[in-house]
Amino acid sequence: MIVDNCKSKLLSTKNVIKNFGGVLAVDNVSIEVHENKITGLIGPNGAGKTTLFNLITGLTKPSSGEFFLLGKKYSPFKIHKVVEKGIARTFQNIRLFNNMSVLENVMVGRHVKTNFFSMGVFSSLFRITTYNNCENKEKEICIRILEKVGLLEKKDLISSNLSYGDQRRLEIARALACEPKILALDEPAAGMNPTEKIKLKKLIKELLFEKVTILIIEHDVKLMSDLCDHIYVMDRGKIISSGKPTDIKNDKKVIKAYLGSTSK
Amino acid sequence: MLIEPKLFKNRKFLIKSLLVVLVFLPFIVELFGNAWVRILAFSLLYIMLALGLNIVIGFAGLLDLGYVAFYAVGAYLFALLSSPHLIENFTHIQLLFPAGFGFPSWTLLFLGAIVAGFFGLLLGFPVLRLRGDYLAIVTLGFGEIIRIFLNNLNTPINLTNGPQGIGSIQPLLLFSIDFSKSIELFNISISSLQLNYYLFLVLTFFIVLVSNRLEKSRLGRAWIAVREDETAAKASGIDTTRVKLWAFVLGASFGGVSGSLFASFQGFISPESFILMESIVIVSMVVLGGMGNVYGVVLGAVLLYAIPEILRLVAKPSQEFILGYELIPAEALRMLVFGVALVTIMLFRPEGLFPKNK
Repeated sequence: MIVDNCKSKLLSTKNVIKNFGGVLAVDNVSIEVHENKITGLIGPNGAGKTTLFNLITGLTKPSSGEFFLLGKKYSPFKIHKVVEKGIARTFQNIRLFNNMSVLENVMVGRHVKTNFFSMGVFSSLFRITTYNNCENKEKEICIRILEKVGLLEKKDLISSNLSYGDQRRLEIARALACEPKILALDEPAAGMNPTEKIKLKKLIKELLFEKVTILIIEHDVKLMSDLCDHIYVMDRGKIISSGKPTDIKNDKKVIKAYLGSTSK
Repeated sequence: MLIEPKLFKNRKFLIKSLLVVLVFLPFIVELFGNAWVRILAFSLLYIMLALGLNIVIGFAGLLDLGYVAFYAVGAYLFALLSSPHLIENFTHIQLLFPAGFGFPSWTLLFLGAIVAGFFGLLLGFPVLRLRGDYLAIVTLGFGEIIRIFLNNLNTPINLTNGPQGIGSIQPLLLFSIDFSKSIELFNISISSLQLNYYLFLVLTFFIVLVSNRLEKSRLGRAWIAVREDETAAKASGIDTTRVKLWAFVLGASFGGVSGSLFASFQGFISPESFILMESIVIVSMVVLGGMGNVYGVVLGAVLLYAIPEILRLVAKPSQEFILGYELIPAEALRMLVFGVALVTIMLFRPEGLFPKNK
């Protein structure tokens, strides 16, 4: 079961509710994400997984509920503030900056890690040495990140020209650029072929070594049971089950949510 | 990207030859008449305007149809502070400045940029949440508000002199050069028009440089990110509010400087110079040249300003030369050719003449 240890609890939500008009998209959800672990979120379509993601990352405002990061309460009302606090995310449908190069995409991700004064408007106009030094340092950091995800040789390509799998990895690279404590991945394997999935799995496992905690939504059950340390199952806005992947597989409620049941 | 190395080799040579051409151009076209030098000077003015709007539309992707308002703000600020209009109409100001304002020209240019930038901020705040067509309509309204204010602020207090406009604006006086008089340099007489041309040329180079540097800065990347995908930009930690306001402010300040130059160059301004059509022409320059590409926008501005003006000058004589009489009135032919050119370019190059990254 969940170890209720304050130190290892990196992110948690308490009684989070979100309704869109009359629809309860997220109904009283409390989850916990533990440090240096992979936490999974599964459930049938329309279960409210992505909405919960959006609430945690500040993309949509919650109707009620509390959010904690490292034991401290935070209000996820502005996405860029949440990113500053250390939660980065990717999107279900890839959202890249299409007309920018691969490297530039990652450099945009460095935005919160770069200083407004050393890299602000006026220093960029006068190109003082500190500005150039900062810019070069940032470039190096981004190149290292691209190397990590295996896109180094494609750094000068326009991002819309990348293959589907590469675009997914670029999105992860961009999210990693802000040095997040938590990386929230919304269906990172969607539309990937088996080889790409294996590469992705390897990448995610490597990230754990760099002290990045991962929260992941995915439909691929095999991938999830291989990756996750802990899985939450959502259906119709509620958490219906949680536990180790092996426990989840045998939970009747989960089977019912996915396949329906014959008996009433 | 791929043609960069080849271009880079010839780049120095290219810039040098362009510079030589641009320096001697006013002397060559002067042989055909002063009207041609005027076209050159105005082309440069429109380049500055278009580059300012390029920050808002091209970089940050915010469709602004009221850009001419900032041009108007810069022009009226310069006009009010360097013409006798305020002193004649307000006794308080007359008492304060009995011998005219006498502000140095460069402070007025600077002030024009700052005040226009402030107006950019004023426009920016209420429209931050709007995108695309909604934003276009609000900015269009903003442009009209400014123009109508300028047109009607002759009562109850005569601030702008209404539709009559403001005249006898003092010419620029920079580095002890009076830009309304011709000067002698190495036995060559440089006319006032040519002087203004050179001033505009220097400022245009400056604005091209600023645009280039902004584009390749942290802020420039943030602008482009907002343009490409606002949600993803936010999720990358960009404070889109701040970044958009910067775009409005910097774009507006370019417009303000151009407006001040326009007022000093013309010596007379009226609200008629700041109609909606002007905004639309500047937007067309940015779109036709290739949104977001500084050099494309420069070319777009030159083409869209120069083609109609040149046609105005040559339409009648050329028809008389070929046909012996004027078949189509110059004004009609001018707009016809202009319209056909626009449609053709947009059909064959929908992303502009020099799109970014293609």
